[in-house]
Amino acid sequence: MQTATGIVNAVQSGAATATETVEAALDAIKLRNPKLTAFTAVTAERARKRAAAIDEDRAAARPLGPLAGVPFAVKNLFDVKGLPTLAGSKINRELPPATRDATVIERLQAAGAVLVGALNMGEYAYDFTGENVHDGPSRNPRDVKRMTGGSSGGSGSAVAGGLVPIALGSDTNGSIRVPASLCGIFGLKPTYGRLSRARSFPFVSSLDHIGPLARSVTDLALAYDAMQGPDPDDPVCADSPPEPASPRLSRGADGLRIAVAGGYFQKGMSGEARAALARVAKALDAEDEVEIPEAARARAAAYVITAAEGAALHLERLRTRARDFDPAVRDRLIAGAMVPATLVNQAQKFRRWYRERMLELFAGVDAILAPATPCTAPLIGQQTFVIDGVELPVRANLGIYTQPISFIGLPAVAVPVPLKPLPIGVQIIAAPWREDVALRIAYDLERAGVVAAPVPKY
Amino acid sequence: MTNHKGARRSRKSSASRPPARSRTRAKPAVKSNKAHAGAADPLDAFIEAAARALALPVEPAWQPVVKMNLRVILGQAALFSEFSLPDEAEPAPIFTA
Repeated sequence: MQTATGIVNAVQSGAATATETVEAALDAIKLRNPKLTAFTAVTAERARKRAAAIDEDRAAARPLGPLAGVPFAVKNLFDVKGLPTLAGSKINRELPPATRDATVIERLQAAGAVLVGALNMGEYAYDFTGENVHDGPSRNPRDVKRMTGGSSGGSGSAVAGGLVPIALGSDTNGSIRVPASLCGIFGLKPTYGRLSRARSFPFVSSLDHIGPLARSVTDLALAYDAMQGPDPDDPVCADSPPEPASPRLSRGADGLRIAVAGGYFQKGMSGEARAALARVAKALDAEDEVEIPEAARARAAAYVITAAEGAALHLERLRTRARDFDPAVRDRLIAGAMVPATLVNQAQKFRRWYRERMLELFAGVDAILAPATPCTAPLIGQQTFVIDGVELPVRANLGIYTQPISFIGLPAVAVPVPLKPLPIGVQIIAAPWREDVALRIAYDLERAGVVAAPVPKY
Repeated sequence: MTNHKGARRSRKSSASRPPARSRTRAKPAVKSNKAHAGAADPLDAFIEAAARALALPVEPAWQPVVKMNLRVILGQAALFSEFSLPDEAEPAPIFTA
């Protein structure tokens, strides 16, 4: 499967039709999805109709969109007209089919992209592993015995495995950046409120973001740009016009002040994570270190808000359908239901304090580099990993570097450093509403060959 | 609703003010669970009471994992609740009427 940019060029020039492109994607899914368990639904009929319409547009010399003919797929928490919105759960299988697509699907489709299916995910997005007790684990194309990371595990798997060039995920505490890191692809978690969440199944309203995963920065920016803009259907979505990043990519990192996160972000990482971070920092001449203040408390506050808001969302289902949850999710949600409101309120007060300190930090730097995950992809089912001689639980620790960032909605691009045998990601974190800065830096790194997402054999 | 753009209005820095409260606080009862070996764990009683009050079914087999999770959450909460903020500190979400 080509990149989205390659497909658009081929379809616009007539070198390939949208129908041929979509058929190739459907063939690849049919052949290789059984190894990956990335897809939970394939929307073949809809995709063929859409591709035919694009080909008719071209034949009639009507203008084609910037994503003309590009197959894409979405984490199965996005509403897809005609499908129940599973959100990785058993319970939601009983929901009636969605009557309308999520806003971001409508926008990608309006740009010419073609939806080919819905993707596996951790139950109700409360997950960092990409494992799912109902659908089976999504598998990492770099090594199918290994986890994808979650909760957007199917999104990571489908993109890294070359089934689609672009997938959508959601990120509450790291659920785009963690699978991007473990699967060795690019992922963008935009600023909180940048992209509409309308008609996606929520998790933690205070922290929920959606965003794209792709195998190139250009593709990531193309998808991101096509989804921007206000949306009255999502009260959190910013009422501000789109700020396209694609035209700015070629400016690269020139003139940008880039520092490495110190303190909390230098602790608890594996040799691979450290090597990847050093490689990226060196390529960018990022020699300065900045201290993100009170990051451990920020992570803790995100943890508590997540538990409590997640439990509030699912309270009635916990009362009536507790046995139908993944036990690992259920027992965390039940505990979350018992968190005193006083602690949640304190967490939200701390959140504002922390945000103000981070804005002060961004007065002195344009971007901050940090690890995306503490380690490369663990084996599926692995419960612990050892770092610096200390054994740590996998589930709780995969998000230690992502949680303090999404906690205050900072935009971040996870870039894949293609270490052998397994890749690992680095976060490029920018000030609120400056996704363009993080994407420009990622583009520079990609151009220099420091980061890359080749499709592996699997 | 949280509105980060709206929140970009200039505000008085809360960090520059002296903390209105002392850092010395009563420790929550749940922090000393390990000291209760052999005695009733207050977290067990809390979970039982909360489950009843919230009409949440907690089967006996689930209880130890729920307790482990709640202990982790409360341990995390201690990290920020011990951090002094002024009484005037505003929570992050802003409601716009």
